[in-house]
Amino acid sequence: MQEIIEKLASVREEAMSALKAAPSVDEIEKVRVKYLGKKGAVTEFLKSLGAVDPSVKPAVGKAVNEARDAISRGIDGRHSELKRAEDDLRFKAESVDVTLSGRRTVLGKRHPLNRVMEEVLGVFTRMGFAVREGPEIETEYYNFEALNIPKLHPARDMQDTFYVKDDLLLRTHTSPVQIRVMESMRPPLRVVAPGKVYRRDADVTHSPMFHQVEGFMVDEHITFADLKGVLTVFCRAMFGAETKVRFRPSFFPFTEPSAEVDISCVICSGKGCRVCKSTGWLEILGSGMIHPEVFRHVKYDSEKYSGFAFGMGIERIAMLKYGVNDIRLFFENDVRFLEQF
Amino acid sequence: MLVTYNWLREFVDITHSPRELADILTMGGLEVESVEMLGAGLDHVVVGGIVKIEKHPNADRLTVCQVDVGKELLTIVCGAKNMAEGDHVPVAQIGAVLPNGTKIEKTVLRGVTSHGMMCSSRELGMGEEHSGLLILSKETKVGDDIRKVLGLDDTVFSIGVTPNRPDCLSVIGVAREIASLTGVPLRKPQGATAGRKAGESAHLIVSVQNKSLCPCYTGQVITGVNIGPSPEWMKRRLQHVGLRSINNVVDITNYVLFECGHPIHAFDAGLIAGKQILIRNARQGEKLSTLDGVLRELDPEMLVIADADRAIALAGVMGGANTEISDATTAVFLESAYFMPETVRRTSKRLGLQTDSSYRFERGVDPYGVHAALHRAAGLIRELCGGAVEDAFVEDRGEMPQPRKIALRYARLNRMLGTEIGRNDLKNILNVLQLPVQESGDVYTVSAPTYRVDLEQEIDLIEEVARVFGYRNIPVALPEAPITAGETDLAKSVRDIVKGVCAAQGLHEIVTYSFVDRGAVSYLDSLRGIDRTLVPVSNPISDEQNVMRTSLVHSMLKAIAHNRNMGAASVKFFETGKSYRFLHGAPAEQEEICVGMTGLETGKEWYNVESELDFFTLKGVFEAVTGALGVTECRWHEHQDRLFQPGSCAALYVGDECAGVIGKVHPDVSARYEIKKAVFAGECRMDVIARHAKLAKGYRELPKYPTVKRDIALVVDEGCKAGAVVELVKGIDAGLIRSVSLFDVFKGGKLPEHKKSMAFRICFRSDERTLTDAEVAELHDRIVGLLKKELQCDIREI
Repeated sequence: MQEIIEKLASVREEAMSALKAAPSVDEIEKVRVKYLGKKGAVTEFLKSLGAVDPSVKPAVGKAVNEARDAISRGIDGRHSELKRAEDDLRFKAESVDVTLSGRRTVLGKRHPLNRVMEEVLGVFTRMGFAVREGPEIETEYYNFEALNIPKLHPARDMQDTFYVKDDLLLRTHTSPVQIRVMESMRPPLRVVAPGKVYRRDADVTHSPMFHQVEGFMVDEHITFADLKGVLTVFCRAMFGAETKVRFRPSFFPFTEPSAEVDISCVICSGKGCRVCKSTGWLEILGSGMIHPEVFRHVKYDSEKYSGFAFGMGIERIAMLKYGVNDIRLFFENDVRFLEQF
Repeated sequence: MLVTYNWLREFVDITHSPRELADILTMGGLEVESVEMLGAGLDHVVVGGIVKIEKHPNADRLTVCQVDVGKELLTIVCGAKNMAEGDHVPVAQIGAVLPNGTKIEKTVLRGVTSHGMMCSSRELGMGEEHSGLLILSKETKVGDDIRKVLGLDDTVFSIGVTPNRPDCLSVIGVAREIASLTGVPLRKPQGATAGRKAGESAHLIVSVQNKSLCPCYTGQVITGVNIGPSPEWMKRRLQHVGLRSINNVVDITNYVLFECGHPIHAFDAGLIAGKQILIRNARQGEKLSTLDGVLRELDPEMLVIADADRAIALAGVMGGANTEISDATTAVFLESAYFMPETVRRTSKRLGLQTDSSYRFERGVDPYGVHAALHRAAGLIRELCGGAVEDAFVEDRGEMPQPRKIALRYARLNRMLGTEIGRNDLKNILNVLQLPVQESGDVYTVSAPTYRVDLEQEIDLIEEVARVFGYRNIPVALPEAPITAGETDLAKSVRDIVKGVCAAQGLHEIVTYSFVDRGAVSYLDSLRGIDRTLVPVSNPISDEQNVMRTSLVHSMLKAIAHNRNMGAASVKFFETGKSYRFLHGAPAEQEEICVGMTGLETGKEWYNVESELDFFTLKGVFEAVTGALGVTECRWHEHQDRLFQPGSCAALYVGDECAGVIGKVHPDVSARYEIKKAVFAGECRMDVIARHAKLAKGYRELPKYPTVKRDIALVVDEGCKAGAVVELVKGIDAGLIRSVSLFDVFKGGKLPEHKKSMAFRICFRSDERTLTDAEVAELHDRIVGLLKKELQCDIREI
């Protein structure tokens, strides 16, 4: 028996060193066939077990099995070793310069004015305001008269108008949409009306074409306090929860009482700077309670219904939000400008 | 409008600082746009008396002066020449920082130490005068603060007065407002009207022909007047509110206008012909040379002041040169009248002439303020110019506007504002507003003062109460309303999707002006053979913006040209916006989506080679747009449009409608825009694609059975269209042939002349079963047979 065990040990030793030296998967396979294959050396021992003295059979069997398992593990181990070495080589070959730029897809950018416009509309639609639009070529009636701005009234000087012909003009504000919506619908109404408007004015802060959002709410029992509430919610949503909002008396022919809405300066947070002309406040919106004369023009009973309206210039908000100091940049459409948003 | 702090204090006690006052006014509705502290930078500047002037030992151009500044004698080196010993001049002492930033320090000038600086007007921040030192009156006291001496211890407020508040276009008006907002009394202005009577004048007769436009005209003759310069205090006040001093009489009329808000005009009475003042409509063709030296042609809708022979003033707007006050004037006729706002506005608009007078009349002055202004001006003339004021003033009047009575309902006030203003508070507020009120139950009847032309109806009173109550004291509430989804109309939903898809394709959004150059529109429209009635802008700011655009392409090409000039290698833009035209006499606005691109498709990068974008980059954008909107019935046809290069132009049909045209912009056109590279552009009607959009998405079951792919290559005539092949193949069995796509196309090589090779991949799939090889082979054979027959082509199996 001792003889078999010793022989087995030397076969095992031989196999292990053959494995250690095996340079490739193929060589390992040869080793496997030589020792564990059908006619392999270890297999031969198993076959010869039948001839062994039954008293030592278990011990010999155990030794054979151990040798087989050891070689088997050796094969697996060598396999892993080789694979690791191969992987190392391949990975090295495949390694990349991670500092190279990634493959980039150019993303188109939305125009900054429209980004701001969407943001404004988003706040109001979340408050249940519907979006409505109206024509840009308007009549004197919708642009002025129905909004309580009669002919030969100095209030017309507030908006220098582009005329088309006869009584047609380029709307000077989005307020005509108020009239058009109220003519076709009954309260309760909650509407925002975005769009392009036109005034004869051109310098670094005025463009002859610009964008406004008009909004209004009409129902029974709408109060000035509601106007303050809704516009305060808007200003905080738009400019941050910490924004301070103030309302001060002003004049618009189509609202009364009218209010300018100021927010604490977005640049200096109210401490005073060049942008807010050291006042700490920025004018952002015009607003007011819809004038009874406006209701009269759309045949609403101003004893029953009340409402507020407001309007804001998108360019001004965009200039403040993005720190743009010349309004003409918005219309020059320079890629280097557009890409920044 | 400009007012000064000290001027206001003549009429109301102000306990607030100028800054605080500005805040009070702004929060009360008179927006203070700027606050200018006049004396800023004049600390340590005092009146100095020049005691001795000596030549500088080392410099010919300089002098060394001994200047008495009260407490001490200063040695000052000076470069000016216009002073003499004994003169009083402003002296900036060491430590002063002048308005222009100059710091005054002890300095050595050519070996002599100078202990300060004598100043010119400009150095004090008072105008541009810099030819020499500002020589002060000898009556000034040496050592006095220069601000006090020059009236610079004042603050100028610039107030944006809204069109509804003409009563605030004066010092007294603003003072009255301060009185209301701070709850203190207003001091009555000087020059009380008591005791003055209308009557006959020995010098002239006044008659108003058109009393509906001039309900009240008064005048005062003053004889023996000495025309000369105004006193310093008046000059300075006028300068502070932006007026130039002319002579004492004219200055007084301006001073009264600013103080009372009522325009006053002074005529040289000696130049009035026929002792007659007539207020009448201008005659056809009548001309008047106004005080600004412009000869103006009048029309009968304009109201004029005339003498027996001719017009001598435009009523409420400007006087005539023919009766102008001059050094030779000895008798003055002062006019104070009430002209209706509409007539003044019409004249002012028609002549393009706006004055301090017309500005106030057209907004509305106090019809009952004519006398106070007249007497105030007459009093000042007597005081400052000498002369005798005739006992009676002359007057012709018609029916005067009556003060209004307006009812304010207590409950409505609080219901409109969302407040709980108590009845006593309400009465207090009406009281400080000087609004006389009668109370009867819930109704407060207010008699509106005639200067408050804006108070017409209940809502005007509600606003007044809100203003004085303070907007900041009105609660912040949120309206109660049923929850609704903030819905959006279809046009906007479609536009939003289009914009999202375009941006995802790498296109930047642009925004361009709706008005463009008529020449450019006409060029493009006539080139394209399109006859549209343009929408003109009749009063454009520039000729580049004199017509509304009929297409977005012009502005697109301009934007592309701008960026090419700026060196952009790749420009890909889109814009959504309207085009405009007249249709059957009515303006029509049509929303378009315009795409334009030029330059590189892919840039030079380590991972790819540079490539130019082309027609198919452009087409891909429109396909992505229609795809995203679920517009299925899209067809592309070859198209002729001279905006585009022949053979590189396609029309997009949706259903039966042509939705748009795209293509490679004709090189002649791009050359006009100075773009050298190929430009691809297209424009498509938003309404057509919106009409065919299917925004609601639905799920289709995923395929259960495998797809079989077969590739096939055809050698065809080079004119053969890929689209035609696809249609042919699909027509064989639309159920089983799921897709046909061209994956390779080439000409030349071993191919015969005028031939090209097109390779297609055809995918077969059934939703019911796995297709057998036999079925696919049978279909494939039919495809090959049909293509051979229809296209007479060679087919190469791949």
